[in-house]
Amino acid sequence: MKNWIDQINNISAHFAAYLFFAIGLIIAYEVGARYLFNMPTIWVEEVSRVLQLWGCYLSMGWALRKRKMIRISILLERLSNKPAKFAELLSIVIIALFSVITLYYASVITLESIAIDRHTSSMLGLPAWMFDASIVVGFFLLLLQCLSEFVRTCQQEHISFKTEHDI
Amino acid sequence: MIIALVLICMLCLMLLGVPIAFTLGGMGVTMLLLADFSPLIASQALVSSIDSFILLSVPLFLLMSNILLKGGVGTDLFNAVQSWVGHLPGGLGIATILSCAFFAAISGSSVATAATIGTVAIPEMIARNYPRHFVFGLLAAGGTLGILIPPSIPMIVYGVITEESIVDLFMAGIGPGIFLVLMFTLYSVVFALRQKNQEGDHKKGHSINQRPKRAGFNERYQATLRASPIFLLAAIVLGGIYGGVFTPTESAAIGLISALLIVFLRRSLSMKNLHKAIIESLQTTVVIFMIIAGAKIFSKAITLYRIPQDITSLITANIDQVGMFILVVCLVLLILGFFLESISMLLIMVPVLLPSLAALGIDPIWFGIIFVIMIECALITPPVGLNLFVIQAVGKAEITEVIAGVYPFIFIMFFAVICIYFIPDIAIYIPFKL
Repeated sequence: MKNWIDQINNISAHFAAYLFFAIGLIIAYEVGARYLFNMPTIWVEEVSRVLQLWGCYLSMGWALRKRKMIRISILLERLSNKPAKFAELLSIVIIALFSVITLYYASVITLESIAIDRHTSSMLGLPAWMFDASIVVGFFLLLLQCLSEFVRTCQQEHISFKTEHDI
Repeated sequence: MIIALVLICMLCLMLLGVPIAFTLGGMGVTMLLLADFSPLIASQALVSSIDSFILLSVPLFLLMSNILLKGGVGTDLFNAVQSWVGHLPGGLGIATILSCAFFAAISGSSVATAATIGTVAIPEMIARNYPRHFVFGLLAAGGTLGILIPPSIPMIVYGVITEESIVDLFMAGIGPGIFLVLMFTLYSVVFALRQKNQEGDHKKGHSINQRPKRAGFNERYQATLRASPIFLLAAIVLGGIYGGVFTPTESAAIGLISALLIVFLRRSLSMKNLHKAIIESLQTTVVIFMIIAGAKIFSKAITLYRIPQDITSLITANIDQVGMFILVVCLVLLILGFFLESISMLLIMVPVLLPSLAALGIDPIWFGIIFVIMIECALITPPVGLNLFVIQAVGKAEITEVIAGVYPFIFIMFFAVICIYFIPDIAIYIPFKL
């Protein structure tokens, strides 16, 4: 089970990474269209924002798998293996609980957006569910990854709290 | 009472290793549920926090920086600057700081700046027998210029939280950025001259005062020409924003395309490295965005509990002087900086402090610059200083060597904060009076 969950999150993160790259290209196209052809678009800004939402939330599971999320590990590094394992499992459970609550309420909002055919108040007027659904899909993937990480942590002999992050 | 309880819970979760994003988000949702507020607010906050066009500049500036980093443009930049100043006392130190400043003008990230220039400057300086701790400290501190000299990712995030103009924030960062560059440069010169005195006439062998030969006109011309696309890129990115040609996000997109053009024309970026740059940009983006989303939920919850208002009342009842407020904030940031990284500090502190700024009549742009300099300190204060680890990795150093080298620069940053407090024009002259 762990393998296919990891694989799904890995693919969705790679897809997300190229979404951000694509956003860069379409915004540059917008600048070109405005200055070179005097033809500003009505779709670039809103489409970029939708893609950004999907890009961000699709990669959360991968970020959890790769332990990229920022956290304070000073205390944990000093713990022996058993309490460290407990802290790690607790952390995963908290993320999973947060995911379940968010998944439920985001689904409510998304279904409501579909039911009443809500649209954004812009010139493009995209359906609102396109924005809301990113939370549902993203947190579903994160929840799956939490399950995978829980099993993996239970099976692990030694826990490492090394994180990699750069800002 | 509620404030203390929230703080204790937050601290416990963070110390237990729960990621900052989920500590903030989880606390926010729990607070909403406990007070019978609708948790739908949390889901809406997750959308509204990331559904922002201005925030798009963060991944795009990161992409631009990472592409330039992987494309090895740091070498051209460092060589060009070194050809002009390398022969001066402490010349390599000056070249390093100036290279960091130029790279900072095209990058919004301190890590990208430290890594790009560090890769080139560290071997060069160590080969010239500069003390290792000085070299590592200089690079770690020089890298932090990446978030003060515009464009700057923390400034974008600060602008989004406070709803202040990102352009004004960027412009306000230029004066303090130049001020810090001058201070770091001065320190490098003083350090080199002091080394010379200590060495005296007795010591034989290599010395940091055996400086590179003064470059001839032709050498300078060639080196500058080779680095000119980087200077041009900085001019496009900053000139475009300041001239009102692009929004910061559009400027980042144009910068990304220009960076791609530069590295492809130089033939210095393979498809494999481009892929790496794209993935590494995502990694940083998702980490920042998740904290932003978590902080938005937390911020909604504490606002409904009236916590920022209570803190403001507490502050205004006990602190009536701007100086005392800034001093307290700086001390808190200094302590937080030992444990938290920059964006987390920004997202936890600013929503809480924002109402106090208005109550005390503090300009949010000026305060933003002081905040960013304190974040720079946090980037080089152990044990959680990102730039320390970057330089440790790039320079293949011991972390203790890097830590030993950064202390003088932390004091220089404090000095800069004091100067900006007493002479606010250092920050606000360019955006508001020029």
